[in-house]
Amino acid sequence: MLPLARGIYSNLLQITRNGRVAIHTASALRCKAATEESSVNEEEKEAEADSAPDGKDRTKVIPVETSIRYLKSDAYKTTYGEEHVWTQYRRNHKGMYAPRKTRKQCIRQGKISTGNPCPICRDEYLVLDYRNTELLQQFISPYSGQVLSYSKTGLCQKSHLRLTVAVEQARDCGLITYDVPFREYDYAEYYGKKEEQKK
Amino acid sequence: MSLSPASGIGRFYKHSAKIIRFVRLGCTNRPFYHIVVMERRKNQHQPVIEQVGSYDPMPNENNERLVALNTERIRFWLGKGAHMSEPAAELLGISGLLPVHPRTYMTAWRNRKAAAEAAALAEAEGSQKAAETA
Amino acid sequence: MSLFRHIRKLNALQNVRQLSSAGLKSSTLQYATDPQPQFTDAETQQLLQSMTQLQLDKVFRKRTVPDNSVHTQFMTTAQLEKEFLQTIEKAQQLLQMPPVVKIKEDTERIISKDPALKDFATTKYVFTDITFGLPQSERKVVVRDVDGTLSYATLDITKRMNQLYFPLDGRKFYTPRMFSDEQLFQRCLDEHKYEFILDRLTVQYEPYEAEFHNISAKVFEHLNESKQFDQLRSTRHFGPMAFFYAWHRCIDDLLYDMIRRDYLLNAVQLIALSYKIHKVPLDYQATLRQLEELQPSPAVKALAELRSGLRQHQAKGIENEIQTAIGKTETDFQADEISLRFIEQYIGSEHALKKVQLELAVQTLKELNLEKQQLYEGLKKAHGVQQQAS
Repeated sequence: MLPLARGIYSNLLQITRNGRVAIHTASALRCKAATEESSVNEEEKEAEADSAPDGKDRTKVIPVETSIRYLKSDAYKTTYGEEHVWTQYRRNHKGMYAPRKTRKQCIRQGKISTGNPCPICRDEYLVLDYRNTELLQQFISPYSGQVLSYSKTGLCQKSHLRLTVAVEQARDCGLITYDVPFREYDYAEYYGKKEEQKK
Repeated sequence: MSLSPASGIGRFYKHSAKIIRFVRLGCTNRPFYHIVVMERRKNQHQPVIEQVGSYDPMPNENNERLVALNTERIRFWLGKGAHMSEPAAELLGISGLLPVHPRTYMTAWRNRKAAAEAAALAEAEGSQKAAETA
Repeated sequence: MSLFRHIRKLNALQNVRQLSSAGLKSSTLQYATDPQPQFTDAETQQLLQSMTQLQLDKVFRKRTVPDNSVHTQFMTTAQLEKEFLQTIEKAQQLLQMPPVVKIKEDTERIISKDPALKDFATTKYVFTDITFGLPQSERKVVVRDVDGTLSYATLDITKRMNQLYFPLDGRKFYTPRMFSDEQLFQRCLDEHKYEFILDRLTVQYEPYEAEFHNISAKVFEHLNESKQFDQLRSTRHFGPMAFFYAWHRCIDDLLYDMIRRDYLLNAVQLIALSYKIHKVPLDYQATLRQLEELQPSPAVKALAELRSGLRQHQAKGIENEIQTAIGKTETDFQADEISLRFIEQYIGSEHALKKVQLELAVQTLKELNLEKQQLYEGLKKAHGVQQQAS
């Protein structure tokens, strides 16, 4: 029964690939990708869990290694393609102009509390961590090297804070390179005044 | 209470008495001082003539108290005949810019005396306890 | 504000780990004697600058900094010429080499001892002179200890106070984890982020600190093994790197790289530098002088490159066209001959360690050059350039 359902799912996915729906429905596909890599036993357990799925539950902690693997997997590629994780996301708001700030948080009490969670919160396999550089790079401007604003990426305030912390840590660890400010040396300070006179 | 700039916006008379003193900034339970030059008669939160340093009386994580002194300007104002408040004079004495202030010697002597008394008391108590147990 | 709190919390956790690992292990190669007189010597400086080269594309590459806007302007030819000269000057400033000096030892300098001041306070006082406009090395930092001694602060405290009152852009108050964690540092090296590491090193540490020597030595050693010298070419770190190899007698890999990339002038300069440092009684100056006459300095070359963009629309001579097609001129062939002779002399001597490899590289280059020369002369003949000249 289940494989059949999955087949239908993937067909549906291909039909609506470019639409926003594709991203929302992708979580089932991702579960599949994750379980394929783990052992068979776990897959059975997952299948049992799938019988009563709660797509909004976020209590399970996903390790960073899984997230890093996920970003390289086919499941990720079918979901997002070559684009950044935030490019397809659109904020919901009433009226012409969006509120200046995004919402405070998407996840309350271990559950998604909104219908349109932010790009990081909607996909539980995107883990913000300083080791997950591939994900962090998507949120850094290629022109100015700064972290992109939440008005552009649509991240909720909590995710944005975690993102900035992770980027700063990754820079500190040297996992993300950036252009270090130029330091001009005054040679006279290091070589003494004798050299100065010679020149 | 707004912060006045370090270059100073305080108005002053040419021949009025100037003083090098502390201005308490920071907040409740967290003192931080600016060392400033201002007219002697003025309240500490008035605009200053010039800020010449800062003093953080709370020890940092390396157990140091940090003092910054613009020695060039301090000497200039002292040469002009500026007065010094006692805490400021003590600090400058400790820094080695001026002779050590007598009150610093007094505090040192009192601290040593208190420490010696406390040690003697502790020793007496210790011996008493030893006598009791024996 | 909350961001800093978060990071500080995390760093506090990391500090505990740092204490256990106690920083990086020291490297094997150290400057035994003071390298500064050799490094600051005018001839050495000139050799190093010439070896560094001046690739304008690399020096003025687009940087990912908050303000990287471009200014566009109409100019007359005279203004443009002036601008070119300024550009070259600016590029040379950007290529300023970090000084190579010996490690500074921490000496205790007591100003006065006052036993009557004992126990005047519970903690020591650190006084910093914040007089406007003083250079960092002249800034006085003194410490009054609890027992009443007044002394100059240690280098560590001095650096901390300087950073506190006059912060240097990009320097962190704590040691970056990249430099304190052995594994992370190794990872950076393995990913060949040499320029990034060295850039960060120059900002984080002073050239006379032990860590500066230690880390830069490690980077250069790793670079010598991975042989990706091209990454540092035309950056400010190439000079100190070449100097390091010449000092420690391991120039062969760099030399091989230079020959392979057909930078023969640089190869000669590198050999000359090593002769100079180790005081080998060999006359290299005559060869260098000859070569310098034949080939322009990197600044002149870069200027010519800038000007060539200006005259693109003008009609070119057939000779020029041939030269650009082959990439070499007659003088270049002459210079190559002289430098090859010099390099072969070096390979034949006892100073070279990887003789076979170098010989092979020289041989290939020779064959290539011969082919190019034949082609050059053939083309010239075909276009009848020689007759015009004569």
